[in-house]
Amino acid sequence: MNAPILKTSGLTKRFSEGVLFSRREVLAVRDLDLEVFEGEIFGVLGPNAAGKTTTLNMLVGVARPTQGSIELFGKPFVAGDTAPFARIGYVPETTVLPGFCSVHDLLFFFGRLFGCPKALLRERIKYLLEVTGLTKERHVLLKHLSAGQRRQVDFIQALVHDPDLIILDEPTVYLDPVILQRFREMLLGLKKAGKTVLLSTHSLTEIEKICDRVAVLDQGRCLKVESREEFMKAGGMEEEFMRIIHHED
Amino acid sequence: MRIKTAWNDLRITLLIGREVYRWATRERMMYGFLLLALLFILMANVPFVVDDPKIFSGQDPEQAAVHIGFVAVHIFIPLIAIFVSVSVLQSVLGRENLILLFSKPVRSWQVLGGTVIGLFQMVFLNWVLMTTGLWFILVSQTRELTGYLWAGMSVALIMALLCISLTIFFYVLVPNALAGILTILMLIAGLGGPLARETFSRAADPSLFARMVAASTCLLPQVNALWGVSMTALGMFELHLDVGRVFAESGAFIIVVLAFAFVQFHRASRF
Repeated sequence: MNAPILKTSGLTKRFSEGVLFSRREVLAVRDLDLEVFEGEIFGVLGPNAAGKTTTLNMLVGVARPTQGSIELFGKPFVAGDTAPFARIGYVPETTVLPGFCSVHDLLFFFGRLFGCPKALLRERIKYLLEVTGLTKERHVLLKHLSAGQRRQVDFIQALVHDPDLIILDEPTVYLDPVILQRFREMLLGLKKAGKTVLLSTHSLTEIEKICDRVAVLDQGRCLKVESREEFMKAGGMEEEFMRIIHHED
Repeated sequence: MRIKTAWNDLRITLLIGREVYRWATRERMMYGFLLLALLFILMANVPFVVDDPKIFSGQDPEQAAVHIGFVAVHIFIPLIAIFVSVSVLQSVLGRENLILLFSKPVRSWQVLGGTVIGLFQMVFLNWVLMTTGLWFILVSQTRELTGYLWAGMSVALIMALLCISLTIFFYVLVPNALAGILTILMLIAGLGGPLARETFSRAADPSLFARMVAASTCLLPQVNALWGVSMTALGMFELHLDVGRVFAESGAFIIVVLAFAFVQFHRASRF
């Protein structure tokens, strides 16, 4: 197996909720140990409020861990260090893209944030729009796109700088079956190109079809990390997932 | 290496600034204010057209026109700076947008720095349009170049930067429309500041409280003084003001307010 491209040790996130006397502490993620290896598609599966999004936000530096450590590309990730993000593409759970921007302009802006040369960036945007089938919408304003098309733009913005690690948080929301199929092919293509994908979802179909290994999260804890084959052997993804979750209850 | 890093940091800040500027110039509210301001400025034609000296108290028509322009620019520029800023900040500093930006090699100071630059650019555009409008009226009526107008009106830009800084400062503390209201209240307090200072320091034996109140008025924006500088430069009044001191104090005020905003934003921006 390749070296871990991403590793977390005892990752914990606590935050307080409510106001004044009704304030209470919530443990969103507790003692999470994960290893994601180079060139694999790693799925993070869990019910709602399992801590998936919080975990991903900590991995991309958006949220600060309360405890624990993160290693990115073999180096400890220090808060405030933005250098590793040049090699990471992130699709957040929800985005609010500026409606006045055209698809090309937005992707160009994000590409420029990574310091991509203009000519190379134009070529890359053209290629990604072709692959995702959004070439015709290139100069369309974002406000005129459908929710599914906007989700595709979210996906493209994460790939515009050709990252080594792609982190996706519920990327398949709003996608129709045709686009979904294309999306799966793209992820498999990225894997083939040696990229690593970390996919958080509660869609068992995605996990079953494309992931190499799967981590099951519930109430902020990692309950199991297994290969897809192991899950299938145990009676199928859905059965095994339900068994793990209910066993913990 | 350091120069390269600094240049890259600046490049990202300017990129964000350009995006914020685009965001701001899409605000319909801005065009509403601009249109009202230009209509107001159009009124500067009236002193040249109306012959009756009683209406403008025997004032020179050029002076009366400048007076109207001064009021328009100094009212609408702060209004645009405050209201458009609040609206843009709700989008730019919204949680979803910040998550997207912070997952890229972008630091919190670059986001806030870019926001200040973008908003200032937007206000600058409005100021140019308003001042040009007034300048055209004066040139067409007097057949003189009236260069002093640009110098006098440029004080409005310092006021605008002050309003933007205050709005950002309050927005970082209270991320909603209340930031705009607090900024307006702060400006009103700034207007009354000199009077309060004089009142509290005039007492024969000022108490500790009175001294503290008098001293604390120095922490308010120098709205009166800035307007005074502008009025003097426009030849409306002869006020004896230490222009350098007024600018230095306003500059220091802006720097301190922005520094607080940057620190607070840096602390609060990672969820």
